[in-house]
Amino acid sequence: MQIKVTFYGPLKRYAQEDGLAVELPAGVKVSDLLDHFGVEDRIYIVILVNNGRVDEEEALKEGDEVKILSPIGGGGS
Amino acid sequence: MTEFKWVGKVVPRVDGVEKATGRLRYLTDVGLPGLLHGRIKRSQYPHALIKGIDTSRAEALPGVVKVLTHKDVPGVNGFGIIVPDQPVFCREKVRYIGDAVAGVVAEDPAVAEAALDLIEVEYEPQPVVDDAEKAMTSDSPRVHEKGNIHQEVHVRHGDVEAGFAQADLIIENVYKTPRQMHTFLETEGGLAFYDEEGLLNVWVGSQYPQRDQLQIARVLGLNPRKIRVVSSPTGGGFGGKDEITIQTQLALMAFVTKRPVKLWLSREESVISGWKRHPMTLYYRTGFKRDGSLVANEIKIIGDTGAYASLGGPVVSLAVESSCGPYRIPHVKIDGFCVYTNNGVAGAFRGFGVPQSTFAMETQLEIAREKLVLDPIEIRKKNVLRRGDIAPLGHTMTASVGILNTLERAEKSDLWCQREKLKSQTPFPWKKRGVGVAIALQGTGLGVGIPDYGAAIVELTEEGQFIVRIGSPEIGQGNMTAYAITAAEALGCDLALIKVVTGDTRNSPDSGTSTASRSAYTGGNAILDAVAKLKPKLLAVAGEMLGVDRAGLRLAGNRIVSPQGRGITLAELGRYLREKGLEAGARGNFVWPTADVQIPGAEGLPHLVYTYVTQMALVEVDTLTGKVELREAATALDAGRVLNRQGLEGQAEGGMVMGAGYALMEDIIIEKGYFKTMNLSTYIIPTSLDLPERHQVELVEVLEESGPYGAKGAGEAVMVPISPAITSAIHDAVGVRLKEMPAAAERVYQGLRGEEHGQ
Repeated sequence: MQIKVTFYGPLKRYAQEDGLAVELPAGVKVSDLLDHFGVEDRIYIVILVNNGRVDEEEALKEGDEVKILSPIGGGGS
Repeated sequence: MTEFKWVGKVVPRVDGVEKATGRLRYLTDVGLPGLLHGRIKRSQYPHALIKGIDTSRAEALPGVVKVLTHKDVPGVNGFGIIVPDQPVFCREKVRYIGDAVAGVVAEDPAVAEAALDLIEVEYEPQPVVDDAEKAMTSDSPRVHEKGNIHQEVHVRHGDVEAGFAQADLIIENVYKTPRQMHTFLETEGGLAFYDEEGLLNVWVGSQYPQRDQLQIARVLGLNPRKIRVVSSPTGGGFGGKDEITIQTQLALMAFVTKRPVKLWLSREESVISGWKRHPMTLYYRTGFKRDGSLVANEIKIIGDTGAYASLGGPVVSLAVESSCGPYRIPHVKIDGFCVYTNNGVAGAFRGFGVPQSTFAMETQLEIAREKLVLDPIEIRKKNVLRRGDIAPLGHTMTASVGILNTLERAEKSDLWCQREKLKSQTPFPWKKRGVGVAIALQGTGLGVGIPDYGAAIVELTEEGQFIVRIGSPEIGQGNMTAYAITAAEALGCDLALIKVVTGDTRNSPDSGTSTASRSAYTGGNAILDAVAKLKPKLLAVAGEMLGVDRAGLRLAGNRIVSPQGRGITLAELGRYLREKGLEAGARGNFVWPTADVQIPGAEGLPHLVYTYVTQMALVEVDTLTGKVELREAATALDAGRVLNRQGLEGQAEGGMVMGAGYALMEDIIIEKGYFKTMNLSTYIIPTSLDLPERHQVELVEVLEESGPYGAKGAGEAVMVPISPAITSAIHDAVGVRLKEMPAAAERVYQGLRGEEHGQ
């Protein structure tokens, strides 16, 4: 199956291209996707699938759009 | 015109009664059976190498359960939103006087306190880096091995020298801004304990529990799912609880002892260890045409982030973004530097870099206006951004832009219309009055670069209530009420039927941080997405129950009714859904739209959606003492659609007071790395006696299409331009032009004497 992946901020070192198409076997989880890219820091990251936050155990499906980022934004308030 | 039932109406705060009655307790007042007490041993020097730590005498003290040092940290010994450069417990070096060297957990708070004195730390003091500009030089001692410049931002747009060549007037000045403290009501603190499910609970004053969860997990080397963080809805934050405060040390104490632990900071400890607003030095060279048109701006901003980065990089970025104000300036060259020193720590604070550069830019404009003999409103109207304009950073202003509308509204305020009369009403001849105006824009949300996301879950209970779950915590700013209003309006039900749950990693979905004036906009959009999914499902099931077509059904109060008058209660529907095993809730997601360009090296820059505000001040200056009193103020605010009228007016009032304190009195003094301002006896904030007799608040609704019902954010902008409005009013009153805040009596007095002596 094909999914689209974008890394953000410092994590862009894993893939520069936005919406990179990745072929993966059916039934894989987010953790498999992270393995695919060799992502080392698995704690301080946020994974969005179709704009909703999920954890590493989330199963992926055909056409999913995955965003991988560090929660490094902030503001005042 | 759209008719709303709840949006824009005056409604009671949904959390008002329990807070006003004291039923909701401060975390500091909460206890647990078998509670242990934590304390932190802090550095003796602002900059020193650690040669040894001996905890044996402290460990031997009866009642001490555990003494913790860097050796007890199982994961990464560091925290920080962007880079984890701040140690949980320092190992080889201390970089500011608030640095944590060790922790004590004891059966009794007094024992924990006594044990701190028994911990022996051998230091080798290092040269103190106490000046951010000197810290940038190559021969400066280093606070961090990588160098003292944490981050730099450079903006080039147009041709700045060509711009200056067109200028009829060039104004050049240096500005300095103070180190403001959040002064939240409840200092940093919380409880940590293991629950019956084996989760490590950390209950704490926090602006983003989901990110705290990740930072704690990184320190403990734990799966984040083993940690639950719950934010306290009391105590306040103002940006000072966006970053980790005590969470990692507190969690470690409970993790190691396996017993419940309380850790909270005294006010003095909060002052020396906690985050502050970045003091900045701002170099401005601004070019104007004779008619007041802005043609060029060359700016250098240096922000003192203290010993650790936290959000210092983005703070300086936002100072850069707002350094040209809400004005069209075709040619700009802007450089921003975020610099390490040994001066405490600075991080997020309401306004987030914007108050500093707004003070400088608005003062530049006022100096030029005076020289060009132009009206303060007209020169601003001539230059302000309109929708579709190219902003100084090069992005197109495609979202709503209401700065002109706020100027036009403020121009009609009583303060402005009656300013000459008000200025003439001085009670004594040695007291002089003046009026000032200033404007600002404040980027909302996290800007371009990292997706700024939010989520909400809306579900119908068997009792006929709707639970709205959103992670972004309520910390006093009123987002629970904004969420309830948005949900009730979208669902079409009574406001009383909405129950909001925020700030709990287990019971509310990650919706990002309660900062950046973003939570009502983000959460509101996520609620609308959830309701758009849930409501048709509810109506369809109700149609089945009633045996009618769902097309004519609608929610009214606590019922779903058909055009024929038949209906069921929400409680009946909720029970039916549970009995049939049908879904009673839906999740909504939202990601912010972003600008069409990105400034390299500055995550978040620029923003797309901005809040706009005009503020005015009437001050009275005692020419004998230099003391300044704020007598009246006016605020015209474009935060888009008003969701919660009372809440927004409250934000405007509170923000104005915080900005007035910044302008007139607030500054944490640090000399050679040591705090001279240690507590609230010397750090003075405005009290009720300092407030103006009248503050006129005008809410200008320029709708933002991407916002929930057209709303934007409001929490920060409302504190920004009041500061330069006050300093301009001082100039109007007595001719003293301040380029450094606060406008304390001593500084104004010196200005008065200087001008009298022709200096």
